[in-house]
Parts: sequence; C-alpha cells; structure tokens
Amino acid sequence: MNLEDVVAVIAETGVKADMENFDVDKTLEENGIDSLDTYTILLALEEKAGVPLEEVELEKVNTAKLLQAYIQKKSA
Amino acid sequence: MLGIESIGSYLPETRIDNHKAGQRWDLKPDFIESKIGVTERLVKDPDEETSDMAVKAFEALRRKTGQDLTDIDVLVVVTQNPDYNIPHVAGLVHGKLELPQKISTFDISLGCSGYVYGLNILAGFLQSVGMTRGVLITADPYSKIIDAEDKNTVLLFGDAATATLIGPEPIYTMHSFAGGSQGDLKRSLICENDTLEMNGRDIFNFAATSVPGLVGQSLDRAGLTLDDIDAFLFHQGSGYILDTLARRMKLDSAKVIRGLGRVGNTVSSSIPLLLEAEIDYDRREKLLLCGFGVGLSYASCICQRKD
Repeated sequence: MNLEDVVAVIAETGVKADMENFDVDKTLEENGIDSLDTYTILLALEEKAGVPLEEVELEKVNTAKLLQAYIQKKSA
Repeated sequence: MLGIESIGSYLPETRIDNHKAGQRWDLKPDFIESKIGVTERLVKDPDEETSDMAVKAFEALRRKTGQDLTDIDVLVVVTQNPDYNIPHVAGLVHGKLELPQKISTFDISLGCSGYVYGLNILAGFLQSVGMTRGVLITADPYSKIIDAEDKNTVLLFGDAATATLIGPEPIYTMHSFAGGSQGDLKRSLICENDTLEMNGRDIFNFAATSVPGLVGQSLDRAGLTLDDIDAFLFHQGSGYILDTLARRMKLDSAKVIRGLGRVGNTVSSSIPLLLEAEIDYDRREKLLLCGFGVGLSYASCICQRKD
C-alpha cells in the first residue's frame, strides 16, 4: 500500500477532514481528525491492507506517512 | 409462547450536563453531541444502592401493569455492580419488596449484552421448568466505579434500571438468538480496584467488526434480511458506535434507534429503555435487539410484535 492509497482510504472513510489540503506529514489530529475518527481510519487501513494495526502506538505513528511506513514494514 | 408483556423503568433525577463537564477537557459541543452522543447523563444518589434502583424499576412495572406481581415465579437481576459480593441483588430486591417465598431469585453477571441474554435465559428457564411468569431487572450503575478524571468513561455512562415482565400474554416474542464472546479482550473493559478502565479503540473495533456478523446470524436463523427489520435496537454504546454500525451495515439511520442523548450509556438497561418505548408508543412489528460490550460479550435476537 503506497502513500496515495493510504490517503485514499482515509478519504473513503468519510471522516470530517479537509482532504483537499490534507498534509501527509502532519498528524491526523493536526489535519482536523479527532480520536474517534482515527479509530475508523485505522480499522479501514487494517481491513484494506490486511495488516493488523492493533499495536500501532498512536502517539508515535500518527501521520499518513508514518502509517504507510508501518503498514509497509508489517507487510514485508 | 412466553414473551415480553411490559417494561417499567427507573431514571434517577440527577442529570449532569456534559457540555459543562466537558469544558475541563476543552471538548467541542459537536464532539459531545455527535461523537459521544450524550449531552446529559443520569447519576443516582450516592446513598442509593443497586437494589434500590431495581426496586424502583419493579414498582414502575407494577404501576404500568396495574398488577402487584406477587404471582411471578422468578425474579432475575442483571448487574455487575451489586450492593455486596454476597448475597445476590435479586435476593435483596425480593426482601425489600416483601415478595412471596415461592419466588426464585438469581443474578446474571453480564454487562451490555446482559439484557438480550437475560431475556432468553429467563424465558427459556420458565419454559423448561413449566413456569409462566418472571421479571427481569437490569440495574448496573456505573457511577459506582467511574473515575471522575477519566474523560473516556465519565462523559459516557449513565445510571438507570428497568424491569421486564415475561409472561404468556406477550406483546413481543423473542426468537433467532445468536451470541458469542471474545474473552481474550477481557481487559478492554474492566473494573479493577473499584475503578472502570476502558480501551475505547478495542471496544470500537469489537463492535464494528463483530456486530454485523452477529446480526446476520440472527437474520439467517429467522429467514429475514436487514430490510425486513423495522427498527434496530442496538446497545447504546455511544453515538459514534451507532453511526459506525449504521454505516458499515448500510442501514437506514432512521431505523437505528437512539436513546442515549439525555440518559447516557446505561449498560444492560440501554436496550430495554428503547424497547419500553416500542411497547408503549412506537409499536413497530419486527425489532432486532443487539447488545455488546463487557467480556467481551455479544448477543442478538429478534422481537416480533404479537398484537
């Protein structure tokens, strides 16, 4: 799953965020996404990528770029 | 066939304004209203015990039915916050109400799935031993175990109690039960040292991924589809969970009944509070009940209106 796919999954969830100005280097929170919508995004990514994300530490892996790197590492 | 004849409920008078309470965490009104889904939550008096709430629900049922209900065979209480570890709450309620000695009493230790299990346990028990009337009480006041500093739980849960009369002249009958457990996730919602701890993400994932399949099992057993159901009475976990279930199952949101806004998540009382309105006012024909939470445990069944 590449970075564009991750952003596309986030957009598909329909969470409340300005996806036109979405910044992959900013945290999900800085992109206007609240904690509950983050759960939805992680579940959507997990289902799309087929990679378990239960152990993602949201304090550290909190941007689209970091999530994509985490998924890539777990998929390898 | 035995089924649900009536439901009475008890709602404590004290209401806590979540908008005010949420200010200490700078929570936006929209987050409280649409995500938590609870603008006011009910809290019992500090000296009011679980059995006191149960007695008040039983008395509400008496008023509603116009019966003294001393002829019931069984009294059951669903709770995980009893007055004491020993004895069981149903016995205390029996004593406080001065009910006849012939009435059997027992508790069921379950949380948010407790009402669906309780309905089917009580109806099945009555039928298996040749009895016909019983009362199922839900009373699980989480204010006893909530940490006031924990924003994940303190803004969510409310106190309430309900009493359901099961008997031979039902308004709704139950069928197509389905249930299950994920005991490996027991720590996701746990009370240790008298304090509730909740892993919101685990609970969210559990509900979002498990409930649709469980609902499918009940529908399959009944030979029905989602479109055949007139109303979905899900456990009122949070506004966000209800929205998530509606979205993932592609349900008409008008059919996903909401009742937590001015009450809170009342654990095993959340579904009977919705069902009480169906019996008394809304009168829809086919209802799907689904409870999920502590355990982690889940259960669903279908209720069919008979009148």
